[in-house]
Amino acid sequence: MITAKKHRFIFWIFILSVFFLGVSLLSVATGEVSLTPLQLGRALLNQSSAQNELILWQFRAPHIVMSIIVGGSLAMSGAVFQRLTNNDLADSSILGINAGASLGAVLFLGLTQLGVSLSQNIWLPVCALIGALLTAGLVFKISQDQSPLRLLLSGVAVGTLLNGLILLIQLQVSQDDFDKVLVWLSGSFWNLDWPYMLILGLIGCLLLPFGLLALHNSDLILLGRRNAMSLGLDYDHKRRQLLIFAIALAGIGVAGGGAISFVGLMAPHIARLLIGNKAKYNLPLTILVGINVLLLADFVASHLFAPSELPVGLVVAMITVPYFIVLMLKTTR
Amino acid sequence: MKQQLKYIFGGFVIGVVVLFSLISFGGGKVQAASSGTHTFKAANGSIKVPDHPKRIVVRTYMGQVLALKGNVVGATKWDLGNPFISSAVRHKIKDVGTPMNAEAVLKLKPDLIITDTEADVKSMSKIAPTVLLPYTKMRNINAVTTRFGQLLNKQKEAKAWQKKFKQQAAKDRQRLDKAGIAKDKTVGIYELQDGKMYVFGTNFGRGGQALTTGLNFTLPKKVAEVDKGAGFKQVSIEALPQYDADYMFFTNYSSKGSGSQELKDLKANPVWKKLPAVKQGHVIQLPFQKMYYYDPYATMGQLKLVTDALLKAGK
Repeated sequence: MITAKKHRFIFWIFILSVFFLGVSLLSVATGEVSLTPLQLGRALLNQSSAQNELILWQFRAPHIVMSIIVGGSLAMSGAVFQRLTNNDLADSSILGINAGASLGAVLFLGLTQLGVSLSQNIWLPVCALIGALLTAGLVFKISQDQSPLRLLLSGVAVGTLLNGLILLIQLQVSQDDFDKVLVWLSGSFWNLDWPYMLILGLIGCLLLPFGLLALHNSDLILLGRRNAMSLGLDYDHKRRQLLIFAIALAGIGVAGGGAISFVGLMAPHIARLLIGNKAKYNLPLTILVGINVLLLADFVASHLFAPSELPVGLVVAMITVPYFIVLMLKTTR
Repeated sequence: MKQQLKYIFGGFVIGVVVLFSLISFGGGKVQAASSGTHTFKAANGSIKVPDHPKRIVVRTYMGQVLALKGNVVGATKWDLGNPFISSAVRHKIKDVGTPMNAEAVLKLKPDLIITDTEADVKSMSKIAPTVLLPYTKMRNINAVTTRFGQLLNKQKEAKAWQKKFKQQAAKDRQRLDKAGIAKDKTVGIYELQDGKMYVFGTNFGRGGQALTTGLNFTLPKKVAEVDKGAGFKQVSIEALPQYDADYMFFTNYSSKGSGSQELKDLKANPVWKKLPAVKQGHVIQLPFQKMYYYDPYATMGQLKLVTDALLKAGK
């Protein structure tokens, strides 16, 4: 029985990895300038023409790395939220946390317009993170008993309020800044600089050991408070750890890709369909699915109406919202 | 505890591996070496631009560059829709997408990139010297051509264009004077955008520069305030009498296409009907697509458009 599951796990890991490699290859090879496999290989080894290297390293590879960062962190964050709240519909965007992170980011963009000169590379993600943390705190505070329904409702309410605030700020800034904020809010890889991605990646890597620690034995949470505690789990402590982990991941995702919704909702579900709910198997697949969704969405966004580019958040929404609606209809029934 | 340590250690190993692969990703940069350059003060800093740029990619300012005989190889769809520039010229220029697609631009091998959008600057700077000029800072058409003259090192061409514009404007002014439409008459620019009324200054196309810098018309006091400030203002129809002028230049833009209900509603509005300019037939409606642009070609073309329309409207 166990080995069968393991086989299935390895099978899906393999399939998703092949899909990832395939789409990655396709997106680095195609575009305004097509690169043959040979040119690609040379550019990879920095032995190609300056133009090809520029295309590969500055224009195309960053999209893949950013898909990994954003897709992976949002998917993982969603999965942890779903475990934590014992609710299949939980996700950082539904809990209002993306809106909080966006508000933080928009406030920062507003501040820089007022002449406060801070490095965008460092402070924008920090502000997004702070926004995410404060919002999550608020949402979890409002729904004291943390019953799944109350949590969702307060998340939606707080999210709506914050989106209203964002709109208010948006209408105050000049046309130029308005456009800048809009780019952020429609969800796009707005900054594909290597240093910026490095910082996001670094934060993610620093979180990783903490996350693994938090996830250790986290399956027990699904049994409910009493059962988990009788099995020797410090239930409240574990929940707090998981909560911080999930919020931080959502912050990274939003800092990288703006307000991209529903990845965190969809990826764990697909993974559950593929392998079930055990953290050890479910979470790695969740991450891979999240990365693949983002990668695919980015590919579509940059190729569908070439040379013009769609915001990647829009494409993600087109893929995931129908899924969300089906899921909701099924759950409420 | 042992188990926990294992997780922490494992996490660090994965983290370090990911980090190093990220670092190794950061590839080289390309910088085209060029001979003569001069420094141009743009919104994104002092930029070293070639003295004689040969291949220019431009967003929003295609007309400004073409008017000074710069060689434009790429522009955006909006630029390429300019009805005042001959289609033969436009057909030779490539659409690089909106926002500008870095690869499409790279393919054109430009040696100078000009944009009005800050978001373009980062990726474009990797391809060629990139100059950011926010359009809100570019007001008077003569100042604009002078500035582009500095940027492209084509001061002579800029002066020549200004001279031509002055001569043409003087001719049109004479025609108007003959018809009794003196320059102390006030003009205002109004636009109905999806049912909302806007008042414009002289800086947002719509013939503003042709009417003021060219034909020396005056703005009504309230409109002049708008012109000095943001350059445009949304007003209610009820407030319109405060902004009215002897001649009201009017455009209608509807995202739902032509023949919109909003225009009919406006014309039936009693406040609108009571405006002196409406009563005297001095509301001059012009096609949006022609009034929208504001580059030297458009400004020159609008000179004739507004003069003819004024003569038709009469004294």
